[in-house]
Amino acid sequence: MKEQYIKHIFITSLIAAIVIFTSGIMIGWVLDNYRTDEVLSIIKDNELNSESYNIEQIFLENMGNTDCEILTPRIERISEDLGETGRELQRYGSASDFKKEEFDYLKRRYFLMEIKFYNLIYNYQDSCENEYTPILYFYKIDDDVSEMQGYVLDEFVKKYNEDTTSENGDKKHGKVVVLSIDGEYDEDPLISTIMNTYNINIDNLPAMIINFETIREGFVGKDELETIFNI
Amino acid sequence: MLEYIMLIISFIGLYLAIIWFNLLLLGKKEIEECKKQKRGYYPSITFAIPAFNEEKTIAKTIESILEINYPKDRYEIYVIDDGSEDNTAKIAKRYQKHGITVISTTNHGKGHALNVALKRSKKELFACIDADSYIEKESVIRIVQNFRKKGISGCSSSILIRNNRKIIEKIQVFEYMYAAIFRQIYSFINCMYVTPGVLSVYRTDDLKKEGNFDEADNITEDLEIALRLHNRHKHIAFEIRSITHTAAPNTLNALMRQRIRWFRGYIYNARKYKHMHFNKEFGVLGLFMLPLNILGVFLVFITTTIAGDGIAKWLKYIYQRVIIADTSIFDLIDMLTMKQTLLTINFTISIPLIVITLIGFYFIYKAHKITEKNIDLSLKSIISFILFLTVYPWLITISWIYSIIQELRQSKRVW
Repeated sequence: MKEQYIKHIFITSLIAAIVIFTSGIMIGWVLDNYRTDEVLSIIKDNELNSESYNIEQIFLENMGNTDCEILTPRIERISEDLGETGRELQRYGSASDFKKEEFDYLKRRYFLMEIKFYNLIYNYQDSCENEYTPILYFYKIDDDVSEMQGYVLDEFVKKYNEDTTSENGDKKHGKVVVLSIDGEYDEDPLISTIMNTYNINIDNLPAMIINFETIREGFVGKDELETIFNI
Repeated sequence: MLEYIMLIISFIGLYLAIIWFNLLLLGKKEIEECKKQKRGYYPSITFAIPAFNEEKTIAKTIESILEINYPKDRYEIYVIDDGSEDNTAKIAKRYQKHGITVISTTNHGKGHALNVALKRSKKELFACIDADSYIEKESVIRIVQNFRKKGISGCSSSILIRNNRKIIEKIQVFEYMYAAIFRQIYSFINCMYVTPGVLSVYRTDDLKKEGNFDEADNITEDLEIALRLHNRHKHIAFEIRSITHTAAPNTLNALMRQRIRWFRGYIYNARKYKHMHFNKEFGVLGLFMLPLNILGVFLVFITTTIAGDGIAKWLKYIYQRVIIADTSIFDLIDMLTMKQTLLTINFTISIPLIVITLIGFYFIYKAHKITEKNIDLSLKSIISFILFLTVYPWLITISWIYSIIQELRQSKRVW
């Protein structure tokens, strides 16, 4: 009799375990949809902001009245949004179990958005002063050196951008914007085109292009960055 | 790959937790019946206390037996001094006036010492008590009621830690509490595969028929005798309300030594009784409990390896950010909104983990309730519980690895 009860417990426990485990999977799946929707909506907002900025810039140029005081805060806003999008993409992408392909697609859109922004800054620098210095940073996934480089850049940029004015209120320097791109991402030919243009070898990643011209391959430490930016 | 391993482990963990939970609920009736059990059954008992260099504790062990609620004419006490080099025999002899017999032998180990007493015993039951353990007044009367059932050959008591001031001792308090509640379930499904030497009682005839305790190269004779009795299809019970207090190792070194002895003893005896594993003839014990003990070793090993990998990555992250990137330690904390936090959680793994944790908490609560002990909510105790869940599995893994290596190298087993 007891043996029968025990057998029954083993079976009902298995069913209960499957139900609980499946409910975890289902919640994970529902949240994955929510995650992709969330990132997509942020990306769409960003794209719209970039587009709006682009049109504004063309409009002002056509009117022969490029007003940097109008454009600069817009650039700053797009830059901040882009940073936040990157963080959300990274955060939710790593938590995703079922939507790897969707996140890959979103990643592609994000990279394109970054490159578009890179071009915007290029045009912006034509009309305005060197207010923003872009760093196009190519990294490798699951690579210790790339990870380390990412943290060094984060910290450097944070401190550099916090310290733009001197004690007497004079402007010391502009801001730095980091645009991070997976250098091994082969879904979009644009990335390899840029890397080829700057002669960056995929084997030498991480690498960075500072202000459209200075190219650095391999790890660049905090001290070297400070030298490059004359701190 | 790691993701799939984690999924498999969380499912196995969840399944086992639900099995134990259901078995506990099913066994609840038996525990309730135990509480209502009538007394009035007083079989005669021989208490055997094997002792080797136990001068500090032997007196209190003897006194605790002399104070039990049990008819004095129904039991006898043997102290077997196993070649002690201290005053153990001298102290024990002081109690001869209370009818205690002290036998001195040359040092041959615990199994031999127990057999010396067993050979002389003419009583119905034979109780083994470690010389560093103290029994509660009601322990014996509660434990012997289990022998009303004809098929029961042995019964063990709950073990609690008597020295629980240091963190390392407090950690073991939780381990022993879990052991008590699990053993109650094992008893319910007839899977008590060990009769701890702290206090276990046997039917004397069954022990004699089975050829006494194992004396040959066996460092866990309590495990061997239990498996031997199961091998003969005898039943072993557990009485959670019979409580014995024992001394837990109070240094890391002593704890590791004790665990290595247990684990090596387990490997030795599992090999000796390997035919019982996956054997339908031995019911739930053969098909579930014994294989689970082996699977358990791998589960602990894999889980600690995964946790170790996580900790290593986390330390690397701290190193890279704080040392290399010069980030302030306060900036490492990512302040997330409620929505971001929710979306960052991996529910596929988290839900089974939450269920397992809740069942774990329920078990520790239940163990305290049944043994009628208060839950210690002091800061030291809470810290110890956290360490029990996080650091202790590492010690167990290291002890298992060391034990397996020692067994493979066939190095000498020492007590």
